Amino acid sequence: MIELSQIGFSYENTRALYDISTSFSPGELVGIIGPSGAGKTTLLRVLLGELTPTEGKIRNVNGEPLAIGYVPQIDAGERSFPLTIEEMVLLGAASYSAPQPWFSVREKRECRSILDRLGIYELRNNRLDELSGGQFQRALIARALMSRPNLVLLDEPTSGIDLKTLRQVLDLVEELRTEGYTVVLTTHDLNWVAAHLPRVVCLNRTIIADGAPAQVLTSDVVKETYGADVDVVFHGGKPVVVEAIGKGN
Amino acid sequence: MNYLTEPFQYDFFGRALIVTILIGALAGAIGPFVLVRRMAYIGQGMSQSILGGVALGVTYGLDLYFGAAVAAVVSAALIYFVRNQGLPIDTAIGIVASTLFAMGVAVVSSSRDRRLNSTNLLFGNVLGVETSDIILVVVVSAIAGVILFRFYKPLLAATHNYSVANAHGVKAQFMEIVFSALLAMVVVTALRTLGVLLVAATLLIPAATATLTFRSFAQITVASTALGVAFSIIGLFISFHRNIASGPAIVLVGASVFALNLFASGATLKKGLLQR
Repeated sequence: MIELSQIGFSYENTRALYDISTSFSPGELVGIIGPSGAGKTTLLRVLLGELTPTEGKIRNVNGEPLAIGYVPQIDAGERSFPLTIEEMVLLGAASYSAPQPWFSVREKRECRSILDRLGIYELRNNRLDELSGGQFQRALIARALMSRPNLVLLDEPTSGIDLKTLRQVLDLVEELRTEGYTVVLTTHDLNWVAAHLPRVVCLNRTIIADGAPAQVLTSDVVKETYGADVDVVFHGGKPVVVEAIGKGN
Repeated sequence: MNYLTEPFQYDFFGRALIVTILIGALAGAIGPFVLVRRMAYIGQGMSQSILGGVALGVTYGLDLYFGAAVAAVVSAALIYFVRNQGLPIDTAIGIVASTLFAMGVAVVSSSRDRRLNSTNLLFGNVLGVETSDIILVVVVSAIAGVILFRFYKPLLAATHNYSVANAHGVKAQFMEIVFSALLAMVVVTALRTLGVLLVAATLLIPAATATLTFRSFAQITVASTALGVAFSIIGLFISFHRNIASGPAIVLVGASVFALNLFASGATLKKGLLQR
């Protein structure tokens, strides 16, 4: 279990995060939501080790070092890079692979097994710019898994993709969860989280609420998180956040 | 056949050939990293910057390569410093490189030291290759080769996506230093045969030519290395027989092959489009 205890971070005189205490268990799928400037990216960078928290600490309770598989937002520059899918996925092993320019047979076998599981084995010799959005998203996840993580972190996996790809992303993160990975993602898409994820953390510099969407996503919590008046209605037992009618901002 | 054997009647040609082959291989191997980082200007900037170091070093009685190495480190540090003040990288390179280059030209133009021959420094001169140059280039190439062999995978990971590589346990910041060191090694060792103005071309042309044909980065790196060697050898022979500076000859050979390859790729594409 990965535990965050009273994490805080400040940029010079600006307090970006404070008193962040939560934990992520193996096999959990958690969505972190919040408006722009809420500290989602800062929290992500703290988890990634790019920023050192000014307060608190992060630890893996079972004693193993925290190993993160990171799936960034899809970037056009990254896709235009002259790499085959297999080459890119193998780069997930760059930190533990032997100090030589080639990867071992064992690493290649592991890579092909991951590609097979994610349904992109046949595309392994394709260049990155030859993939669809969904296929590229799978390749990014495959690279993260190749790094042998105990926490998979996805940054805005729902932004800028079509409905079909959105469905594929959901299936993928579900698969990862059932395979025992701890999966944490950030997103702006409140209703996608509400409809599909079992746990949501509402963030606005600190944790406003943390729990199952049906319990957490109330009008008050969403208002406190986003600073906007909303109504929460239920459809098929799941909360749906809609703009409040007649309340104005 | 005479065309190939005649140059070897002169001792300097054999020495120059060894040096240009090693530099061609080194620049060819590192070129793809420069290309995909979209950092063509850093090679250009660093190579121009070393003129200042060379000129000042020679003026104060120091070794040519020592001055060049110090200038390469200073220029890299200044470029990163200026960039960290919030200026775009191309602006930072432009300011630092132009300043150090101007400093070099100022010193060279006022110096009477025969080692500070502006044409040789700017465009290279194979006649100037001495045994000490060969020893230096062999040693530096061996060190660079070992570094590239050892760090190829983490360097590629950090080049592709810095944040992801960092998250996955690669020491991405250290890889930036490794990349700068490799680049400095090429730039400094290529000084004698290519001159400060043409080093960047030898980093880019083999890599760009390979990219037109090959799909994977590994293939591109191998092909770029081979092309770097081939361009150097052919360019050096042309330089000897046509009596032109070695640097321009090597660059023009590379540029011709690149243009032909580009035309062939374009023709294939056009044909494919027409067939549809």
